[in-house]
Amino acid sequence: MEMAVLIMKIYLAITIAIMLLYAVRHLIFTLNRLFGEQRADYHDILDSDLRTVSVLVPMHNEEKVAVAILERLIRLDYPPDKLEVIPINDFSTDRTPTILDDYAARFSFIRPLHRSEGERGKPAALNEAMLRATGEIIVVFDADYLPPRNIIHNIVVGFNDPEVGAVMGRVIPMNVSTNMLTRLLDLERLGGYQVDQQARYNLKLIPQYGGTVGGFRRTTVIDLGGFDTRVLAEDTDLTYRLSINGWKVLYANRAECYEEVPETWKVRAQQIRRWSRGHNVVMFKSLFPLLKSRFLSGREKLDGVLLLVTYFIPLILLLGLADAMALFFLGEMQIFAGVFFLLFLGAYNTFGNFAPFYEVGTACFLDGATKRILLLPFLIFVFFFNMWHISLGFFEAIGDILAIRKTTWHKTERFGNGQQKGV
Amino acid sequence: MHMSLFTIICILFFVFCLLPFVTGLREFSKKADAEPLKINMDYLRDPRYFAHAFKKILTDSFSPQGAVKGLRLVGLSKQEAVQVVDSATVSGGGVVEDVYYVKGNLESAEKALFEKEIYVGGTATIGEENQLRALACDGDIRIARGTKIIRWIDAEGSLVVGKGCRLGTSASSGQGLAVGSGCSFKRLYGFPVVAGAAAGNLPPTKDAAAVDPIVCECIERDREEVQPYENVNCNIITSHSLTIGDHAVVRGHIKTHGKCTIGAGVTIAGNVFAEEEVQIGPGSRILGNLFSQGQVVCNAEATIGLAGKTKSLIGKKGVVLEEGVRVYGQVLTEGEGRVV
Repeated sequence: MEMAVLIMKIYLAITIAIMLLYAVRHLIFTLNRLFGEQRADYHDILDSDLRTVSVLVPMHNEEKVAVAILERLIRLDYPPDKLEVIPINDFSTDRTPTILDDYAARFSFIRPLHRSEGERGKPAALNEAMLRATGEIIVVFDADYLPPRNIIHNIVVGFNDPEVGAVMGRVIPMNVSTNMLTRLLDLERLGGYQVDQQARYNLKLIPQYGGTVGGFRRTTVIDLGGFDTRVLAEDTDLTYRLSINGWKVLYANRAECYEEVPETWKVRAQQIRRWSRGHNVVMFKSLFPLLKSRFLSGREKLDGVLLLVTYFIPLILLLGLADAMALFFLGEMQIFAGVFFLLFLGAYNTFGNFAPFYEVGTACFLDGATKRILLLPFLIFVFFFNMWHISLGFFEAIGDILAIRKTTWHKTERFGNGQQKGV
Repeated sequence: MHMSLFTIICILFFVFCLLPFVTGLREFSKKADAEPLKINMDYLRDPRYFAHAFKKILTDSFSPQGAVKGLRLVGLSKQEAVQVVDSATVSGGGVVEDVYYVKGNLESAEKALFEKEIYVGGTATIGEENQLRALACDGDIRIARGTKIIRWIDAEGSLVVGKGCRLGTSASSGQGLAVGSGCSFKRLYGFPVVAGAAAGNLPPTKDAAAVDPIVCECIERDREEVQPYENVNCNIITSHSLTIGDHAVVRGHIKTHGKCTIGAGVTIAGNVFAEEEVQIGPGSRILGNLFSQGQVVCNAEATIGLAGKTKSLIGKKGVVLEEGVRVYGQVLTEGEGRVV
């Protein structure tokens, strides 16, 4: 029994140490955004030599949102002879194919790809479309996004830097006011982009390519073997494969684009579980290659590891909470006295690594959205919700790896409310 | 007694638990800050935005009858009096307090003060040590030495700036822009921008570069030096500083995580990106863009870009341009830009 209690105490101490590590990491990000030197963005570059671009939009039963994004894409400010739009109808059974064909008939630069054979899912769809695409740069939007007119310029200008393999833009929720969930997801996005991603760019760490509102060099990704169709988080996978092979991911905070966030907890649970499952598969796949990469600095590797295990940490915390409660009822919690108690309290007050409160609050401040800071305490519910579903996703990832099974892509359900409002 | 104390403690406990959520619930119900962050969906980049926006406001305000001589009220950032004249000559030490709309030419003597924005339909000739808030001109602009621009200046034609002027946040031109020595700036835009040219004359456009601006795709990593007269047919990416010897030719892009020191007479067919300071030697040419997170120093007769194209020279911490430097497009800095 004593040995079991000792192990539980050690585990709790490790959990607290991990929590503190993330708390410090996010505090550094926050302080960097508030007081640190900001690296200049590439969007100020004016260049008349424009690269050819293929915009890919994977779509599976997207009739609720397809028209809205196509209407935005036909208004893009980019020379038509340098631009093609490839909406990918991926095994749709609703009106999506008809909508795409209608736009293709009217606009010659819209060239739909209809898929009804082979593997289904976003990575497979992107792989097939990449082979058909002619653009030097691939820009990807999910179907529920509303790109502004100048976004292609803002994304593509980053590729003037010969070291940049991928560029990630900023995602801004448009259906914020729908309910409490959408308001809380809006806060998560604010912290994640305005502070977290931008700070990682400032500090020359590893900003993450997010799979949408972003672009990459077509030939580079093809040379790396395209997207791994067994991975549900093809964006994280690409981030690490590029970084390990000497390419940089650039975060472009000014390349802003509206998205629709999930409006029900059920849809959000599916989404984050899928992210966790995919991200954790990438963790197992990329951890050692990341540490061995000769192209990355020590601090890039450290940050890369912390980012890579992000979706494993909630499980550690979940077990840590259970551990703490067990120790409490066993009367063994007196180990934390004095300074250790403060560390314990500080660690748990950060509530996980999903953009802690100070990071979200700072993002609201920087964006001038100061009244939504009042909603911050409600993030505690999202924290526990995320912790549970991410942990489930982790076990699914373990199953994927042990069984060497093919994963099935489940797309996030659309609501179409923001698009109908015409944000 | 004990029971009631326990009840009170329980109530207090729940009150304190709920307290952090009260203001949030209020915000959730009132939706005071529930709109999406604003993205201007139709925003398009215009390097001469200030002048174009100013002229559009004036044009819209004066339509349909056009600008009639006299005093008019126009809504700029606030309601402003606009003085419309056919042409104007402002005497030495003269003060113009209103927004000035000059249909023809504008000429000012030394030490004139223009407190508000100016539009000129013809050409503008600004005397020594004037102070202007902003000037949009449909023709050419000539500015004599020691003049201070508070905000911006823009010419559809050429813009020639004498020695020792301060050019505000933006000086732009639809044609050539010549900036005299001793001038300071934040942003220059012209075709080309020429540093240190004698006021009153814009040097002729040079011939296109001898090197084809097509760059190679292969990558050489962690190189620290390119030898004089060496030809490199690759992109160079280095986590260190890079020194390029005199008269070398690089048919590729360059990215350095340290300094980038370019010798004399070097030609680089692609872009140069550096995390630290960049120095470009005399007579060197970069056919692409130059972007530095540090300071950029361009020695005499260095050239960025090509005639007929738009390129950028951006030095976050500062830009120093020596005599005869020319940039086809834009020069930009968050720090101080200087012509020496």
